Amino acid sequence: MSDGSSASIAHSAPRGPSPSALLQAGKLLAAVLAIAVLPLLFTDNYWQSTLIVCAINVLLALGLDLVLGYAGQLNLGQSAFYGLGAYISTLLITRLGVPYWGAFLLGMFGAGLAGVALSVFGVRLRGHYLAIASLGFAVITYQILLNWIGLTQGPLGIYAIPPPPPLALPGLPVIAFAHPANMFYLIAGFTLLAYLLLDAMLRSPIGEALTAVREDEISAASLGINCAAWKVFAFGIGAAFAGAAGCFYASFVGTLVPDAFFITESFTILAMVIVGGMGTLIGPVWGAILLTILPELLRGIGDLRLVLYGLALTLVVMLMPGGLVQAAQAILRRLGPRRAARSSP
Amino acid sequence: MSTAASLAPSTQAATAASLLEASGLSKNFGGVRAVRTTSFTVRQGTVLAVIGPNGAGKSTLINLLTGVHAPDAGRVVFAGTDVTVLPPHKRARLGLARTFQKIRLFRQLSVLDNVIAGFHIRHRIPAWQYVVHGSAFRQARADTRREALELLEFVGLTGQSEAAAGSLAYGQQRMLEIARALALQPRLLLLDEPAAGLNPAEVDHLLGYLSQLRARGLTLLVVEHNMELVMNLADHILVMHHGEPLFSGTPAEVQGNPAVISAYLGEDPP
Repeated sequence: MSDGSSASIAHSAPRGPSPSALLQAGKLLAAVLAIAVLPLLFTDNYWQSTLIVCAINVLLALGLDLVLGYAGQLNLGQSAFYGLGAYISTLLITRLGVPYWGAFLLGMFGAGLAGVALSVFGVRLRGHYLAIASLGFAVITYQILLNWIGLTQGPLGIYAIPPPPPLALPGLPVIAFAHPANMFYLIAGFTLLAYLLLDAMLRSPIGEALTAVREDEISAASLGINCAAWKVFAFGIGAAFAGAAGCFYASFVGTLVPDAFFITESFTILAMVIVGGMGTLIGPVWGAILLTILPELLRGIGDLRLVLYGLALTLVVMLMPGGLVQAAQAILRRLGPRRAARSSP
Repeated sequence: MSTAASLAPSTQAATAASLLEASGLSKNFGGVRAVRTTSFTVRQGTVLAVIGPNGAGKSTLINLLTGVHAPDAGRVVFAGTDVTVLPPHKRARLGLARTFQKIRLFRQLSVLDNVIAGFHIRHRIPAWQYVVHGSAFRQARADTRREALELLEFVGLTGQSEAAAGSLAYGQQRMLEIARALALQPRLLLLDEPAAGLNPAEVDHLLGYLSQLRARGLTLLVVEHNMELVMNLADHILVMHHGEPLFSGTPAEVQGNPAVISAYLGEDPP
């Protein structure tokens, strides 16, 4: 049986699209449609802003998932990379007059570089020790943003940060990103691109190497896998994603204060990844969406919402340790035994 | 140490015959001298077995050869390269594959994915195709998968390719670890007590597989307690005792050596 299947793969692979490729294309189409339609369904400013925050949080969660879910490194520094991206790009724009997209790239690069630096220093640390080191990095970064008043204006904040410059495509009306729907298209589009990039990388030998590092470093090294290098790689990409999210955040909100990047933000992102299902790519997407929308929906019941939020989190972790995605897979498996048979454990 | 000195000028000539050269290896842990001035050679296409009672320094020796520990003195030359201070993953890249005494599989991953992970150093896909999968990528993936399935067929795990590695029976896990190491296409396969925990029937199977590998010309270094396996497989045996080489010779010579027998039976050598 295995002979037959391997032979068919060897023949069909270079030729036409396989059923799994068609399924992938279908899912991609659904995602594009959802991104296109959502701002048309939710037309008021409040919900469009929530959609934007959703897209930013998905980007943050994807970045953390690469480090935590694939490379297996407990990183609590995501809030710092988020803040670095926001402040680097904003300061370049407001102080030095760097064009928006140049500042965006530099903010992303700066955050990624910080991720590389943290992982180079923390490369011998594992589990709790790495978590504490990365949390320390987040605390230090927050304190610098708060107290280096000459540069960041500290708690006074930076105001009137411009949105991305309008985009003039030939044959189309000018797209102004001051409008939240357009801003959503921009950020969600970028996030989708980031997702596709990660997905392609993780289905290549890169994903195999990272997973091997997560599962057993000594074993991975015996196969010629350079564990330290792969951890640095994951940290760098994951931090760059957070940096991009920070750039978008600053130009969307228009105001920057250090409190947006306090260490609790790291835990919120961590919760998104865990609730959604780490080690899958679609899990953190749903986790980020759920944990962004849920607090907004619960806003009507006042402070009680924090209790409900905490309860929901605890229940998910206790009852669905693999996150929403694994729970959904388990349900699908029960409904149709063949449907989810090939999904990874 | 004199062997190391005499080897140095003629490394080229030495590698023609010897694949792995350990000279004057020593390693202390605190006051414990785990390995002392141990020298040996593994020749291309042969099987060297290292035996010795518990605490003889076999595990430390393995760790020195694979790069888990750095030796206090001495050096290791593999395939003409001095690897004494190289980390494990670089030794693997030079063609030194290993299995573990205490099995270390990726237990959560499928049996097939465990073997595919062993192909890491052999991928020859253009880097940009890791992100944009082109036809070269798909062809390479299909080839890897086919080769991995062939390796599973060789160790008799064809039917379990989609099962989680951790769910396999103990003996099957041992075989999977060997298949994963073979995926590196190693020049030397180092087996750390491959028969430990196997029943006699499984040991016979293992002996069959390893004999096939030897017949294909693969060089093996086997650390093992199981004398049936050692005597039937090894071309050469190194007996360790109290961290030092006690005796080295062919299986027949080892079996007839009174010092070896007394080391195993716990008597003082005559």
